[in-house]
Amino acid sequence: MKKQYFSVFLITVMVLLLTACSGSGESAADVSIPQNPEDVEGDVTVWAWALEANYLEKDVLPAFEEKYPNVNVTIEHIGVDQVYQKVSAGLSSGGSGLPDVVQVENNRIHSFTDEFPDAFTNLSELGYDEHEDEFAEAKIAGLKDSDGNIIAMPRDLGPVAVLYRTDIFEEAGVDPASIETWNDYIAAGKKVLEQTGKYFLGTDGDGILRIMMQQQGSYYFDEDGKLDISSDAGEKAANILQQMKDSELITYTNNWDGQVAAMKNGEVATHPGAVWWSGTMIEQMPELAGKWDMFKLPAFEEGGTRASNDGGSALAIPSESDNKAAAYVFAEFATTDVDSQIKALTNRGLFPALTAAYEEPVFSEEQEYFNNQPFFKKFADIVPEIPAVNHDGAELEVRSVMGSEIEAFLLDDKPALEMLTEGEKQAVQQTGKETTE
Amino acid sequence: MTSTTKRLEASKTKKGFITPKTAPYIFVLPALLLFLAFTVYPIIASFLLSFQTRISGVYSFTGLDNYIRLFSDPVFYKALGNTFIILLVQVPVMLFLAVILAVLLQSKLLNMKGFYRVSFFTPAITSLVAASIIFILLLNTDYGLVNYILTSIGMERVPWLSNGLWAKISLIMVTTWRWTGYNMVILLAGLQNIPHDLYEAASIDGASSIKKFFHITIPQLKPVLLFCFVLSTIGSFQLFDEPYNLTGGGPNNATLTITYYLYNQGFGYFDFGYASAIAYVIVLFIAVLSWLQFKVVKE
Repeated sequence: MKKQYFSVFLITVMVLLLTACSGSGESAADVSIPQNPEDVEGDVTVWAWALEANYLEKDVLPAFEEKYPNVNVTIEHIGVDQVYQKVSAGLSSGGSGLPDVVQVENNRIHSFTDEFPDAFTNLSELGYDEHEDEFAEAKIAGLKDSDGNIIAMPRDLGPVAVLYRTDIFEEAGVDPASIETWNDYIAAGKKVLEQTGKYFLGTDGDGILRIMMQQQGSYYFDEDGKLDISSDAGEKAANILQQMKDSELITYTNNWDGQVAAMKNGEVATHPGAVWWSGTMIEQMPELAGKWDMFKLPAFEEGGTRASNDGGSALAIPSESDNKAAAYVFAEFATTDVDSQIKALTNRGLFPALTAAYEEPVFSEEQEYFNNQPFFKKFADIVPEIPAVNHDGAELEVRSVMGSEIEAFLLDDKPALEMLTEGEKQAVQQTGKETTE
Repeated sequence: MTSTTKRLEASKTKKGFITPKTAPYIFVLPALLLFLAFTVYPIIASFLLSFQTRISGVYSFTGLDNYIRLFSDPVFYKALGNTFIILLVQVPVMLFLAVILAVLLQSKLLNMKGFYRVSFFTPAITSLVAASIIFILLLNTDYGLVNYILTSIGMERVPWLSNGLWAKISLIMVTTWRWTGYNMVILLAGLQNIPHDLYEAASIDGASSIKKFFHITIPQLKPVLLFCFVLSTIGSFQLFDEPYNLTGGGPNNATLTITYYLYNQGFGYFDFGYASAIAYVIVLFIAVLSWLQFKVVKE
């Protein structure tokens, strides 16, 4: 008899322990943002990493606190992997322990919302729609849910162009202005290889493939989230990559550090990459000041699109936040205040998605490091051209598959077209998604 | 002592709950609760999870789907293959080295034994992230010390981390570096348990030291060696930190281990159902392999 009581007791304790964790947030519909900044009050906790965390803490917070004296913001610097792990753990346990504002990359947003449809606060309901026109279209399109509501506020953007070494181009007698298509690019690469013995570009993953596909308005997924890797756009990109490899223009750089090293020690003459590379270049290869410049991404056919995007993050408000009004005003301030965006660019190299910031004089300033060119203005000019594509929830899995396929293509001589078809087959297997066709 | 019993008796008369009979259960209750909550519950929950798939935020039972998917997943087979290659190459090499080191450290001729023991054991307690950073620097193709030495004696640069085969070899080297000392210490303890008279008797019979090694040391060490083998097998199946920090599982999944794959599925893509299925397959493999090793040694 006693034993029975005991086990009943045990089970009760277990059940209590296991059900103890569940949070309660306010629904977006109940939140109203006070008109007067002084009426907004409360504590806001923010999770962000690296440059963005520094930006929020050092560039945004002082100005924000002046405007909103009654909001108390704490920025927690957490590593990128930890942020995602903690967010997914928090969402799995019903939202407990999550912050009020969290940094999320564009390509990660949907991996959360696919799993947890109500993970983030509907910002359209809170009135963020009024800012929609102020941002680059390609950026904000990726931050909406299936009903067209904004679920994260756009922060930085990664417009892509070809960064190149002016001195190597001069030595090889190549005029960057003459490169308009990928075929021109390959021809220039052959010339550089012949004259200087240097590779034309290096890669350490599938970034180049994604850049080339997005450039054509296509991506690993179509608008409905179906896999679309071996599409026409994919094949065109693969053909260019195959030609580059056959002409020995491309080298495998292993990883981020390898890519940085290849650029630093002059192993490669160009790097098709996002604007945020500038920060890394200025910091890690100061001796190359004045030797870098950029030209627009080569088009697939004459007159074709010469813009693409790689990377960029956003700020979201988890649905379980108990202080949505204060969280909203902070994130709104951090994403729409022009002065702060300029600080993000000049202090941290973070390129804003807020197009109003591009009108500021600093964008047109000539950058000594980049051949005395108005480097940021040139990137800003690309922004309106960037095609919007669908970053599906399965993006990370597919990127990992394609990353391996690119490595097989570069290291094991797998034909580029086979890389697409086999990558797609494996992506189907990994994600359980359908393909177009 | 007496006051405790008195108190117990007093409480018995008051509440009738804490008696000398129930007292032990009450004392172990906190530990038991923690054990249930943090060990038993996760084991059962992940087993159930391995039969579930999350569809738009809600888990539902999908029978054997995760397991069927697993057995038709080429990346899983690749990860499994990598794990087995590492296991089959690394464990024998490491244990061989560990035995040699242990025997040398046991030798009466050697001075400064404490220093050597600590030196060989240190990698096992070093932070792997720090160690991996050092190895990344050492093995860097362009700037690494290892390639610098190789090129200065007229050899070719080796793409340590950027070529599938070499990345595996690097991983094996790093794992060996880390765990040899650990096994050495266990074997050293085993060596010290071998009765000395056995060696004396052999010496009287005129046995050489090599004969003594093969006919006394190895057979006497058998149970300890088995222990090391089983531990190392389990360790190989759990190999994660090294490939995660050193190679990121690449290039082209050449150093993707099965635990790394589990991690990717669970914490990379939030596919906890599939990750749980992988976990249970790992458990199965470890159980079968350990059973086999016991079987082989027993006969």
